[in-house]
Amino acid sequence: MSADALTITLLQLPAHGIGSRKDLPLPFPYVVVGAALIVAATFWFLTRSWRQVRLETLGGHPLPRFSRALTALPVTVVARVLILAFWAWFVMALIAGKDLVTNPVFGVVFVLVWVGLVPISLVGGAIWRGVHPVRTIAGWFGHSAQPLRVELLGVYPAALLILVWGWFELIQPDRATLPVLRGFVVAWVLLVVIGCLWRGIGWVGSADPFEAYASTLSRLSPWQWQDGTLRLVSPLRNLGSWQPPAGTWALTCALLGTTAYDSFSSSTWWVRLIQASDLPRWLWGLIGMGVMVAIVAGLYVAGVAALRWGLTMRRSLLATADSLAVGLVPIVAGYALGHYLTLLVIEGQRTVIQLADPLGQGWNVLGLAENGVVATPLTYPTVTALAQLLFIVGGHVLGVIVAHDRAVALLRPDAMRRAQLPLLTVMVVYTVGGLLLLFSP
Amino acid sequence: MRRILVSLVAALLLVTGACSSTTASGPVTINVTIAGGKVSPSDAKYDVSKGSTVTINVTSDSADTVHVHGYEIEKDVVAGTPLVIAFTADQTGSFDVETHVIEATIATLNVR
Repeated sequence: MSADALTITLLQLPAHGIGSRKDLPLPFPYVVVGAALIVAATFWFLTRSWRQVRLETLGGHPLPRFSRALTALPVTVVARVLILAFWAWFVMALIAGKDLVTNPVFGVVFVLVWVGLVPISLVGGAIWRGVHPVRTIAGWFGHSAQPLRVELLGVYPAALLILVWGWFELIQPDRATLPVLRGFVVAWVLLVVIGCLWRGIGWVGSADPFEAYASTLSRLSPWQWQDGTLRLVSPLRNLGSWQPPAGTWALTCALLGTTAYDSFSSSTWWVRLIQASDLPRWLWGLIGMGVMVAIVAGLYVAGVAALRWGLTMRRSLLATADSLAVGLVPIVAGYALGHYLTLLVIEGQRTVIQLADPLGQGWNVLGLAENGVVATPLTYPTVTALAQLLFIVGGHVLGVIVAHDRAVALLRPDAMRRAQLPLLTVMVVYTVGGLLLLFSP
Repeated sequence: MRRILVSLVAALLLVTGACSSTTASGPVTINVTIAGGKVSPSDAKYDVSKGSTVTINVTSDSADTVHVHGYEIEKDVVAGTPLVIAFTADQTGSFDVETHVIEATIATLNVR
């Protein structure tokens, strides 16, 4: 089909889904070799590991001049104007655009924001907080120095809302139609703004699922602010020196569980089961996602509970689970990149191109519409499969290192190895499970 | 440990090399029946080598729309009249073939 014919077909299609191409199943030998690497690395690590806390302090190099440049008034003003212009463009497409797949609003929400925040936070640090529409508007009124979150609630509200978002993204049948997406955006804005009026701007950090997710992943980036100065730091120290807010265990488990459900729901076994059944599909979806999140969270809490006998001082189950959740962060990042990176590459480009014509009037702002989607790397399925393997295995290895360092800080020396064993096993189960889901028979 | 790592990487390369030559080439034909609100086949997986022709023959007892994801081919099927969709699988990836009225997945095409 020629490019012109393809464009015409696309324009006539009603909106019904984002990302019509999926990755090929991971070849089974990759799963076997990946699983072997994961098990070998984990248990080699357990026998050779260090006994002094190594990642406790942030370290790194302070960048005072760069920090001053970033926070200088002209830079802030220009940045805010650009950020608000982008969101105004989005709102215009949301209100006045057409209900077609070519409307960029779907790609902005499901791809640029939800998937894009992963590499952006990992590479650039807490950038989502900087481009957040509500934080940017609040910034004009001088709220930028307020606390990042409501301490008492931690990120529990965001963990709950990740599940609501999971329902919307993966189960709600009409999510890629304009009226439903409008409803979602209005609900999100109301949730964030009313919460801020009630508890202050810190509410955004506690309850916005996108910000809580982005902030958590930004702890694995090479950037961290300390005492008003940006530092270039080791990503492992950035994560290892972090005392996560209450509810981080629930947030990471919700993220792993919903991602796992996304893969699981496209397995032949599950699709055939649903299609042979007379129960409504959304009910199956809720059951599947609920079971998946319950398995992930249940295993993690069990792993933490089995470690508590070795603690140097009494600490509640949930506080221990939050502290050790630093080890889950790289696994979450690996899962997200392994599952969604090609979606971001292809649909992200398509969304940027579509942003040139937000109302479907044939505009070509900044000449963006003349570009085509470049998918060259994806024409080599082996490259994609190796990248997926690298993300999942790499995330696991980083997770084990950081979790071990945290365990050294929490556990008695005599209990170190035995107490960690159940939790490390849980991490192996997550990662091997992630590979199996990418194989998705 | 280093020896284990080296042998694992070697095994991976060997297996990758072996796998890339096993995909069968040739045209793929899928015969689809839509009856009583159910599809047959139900999410069948097909291995398709890049560049081969895929033919989908559809018969249905009700009006529906068949959609090949990724290739963005969407055709209406009329009750009782056979529909033929034929195209060249020229992009790699995994693509669903779906019906839009009864909302079911007929097949997944794994194009390598």
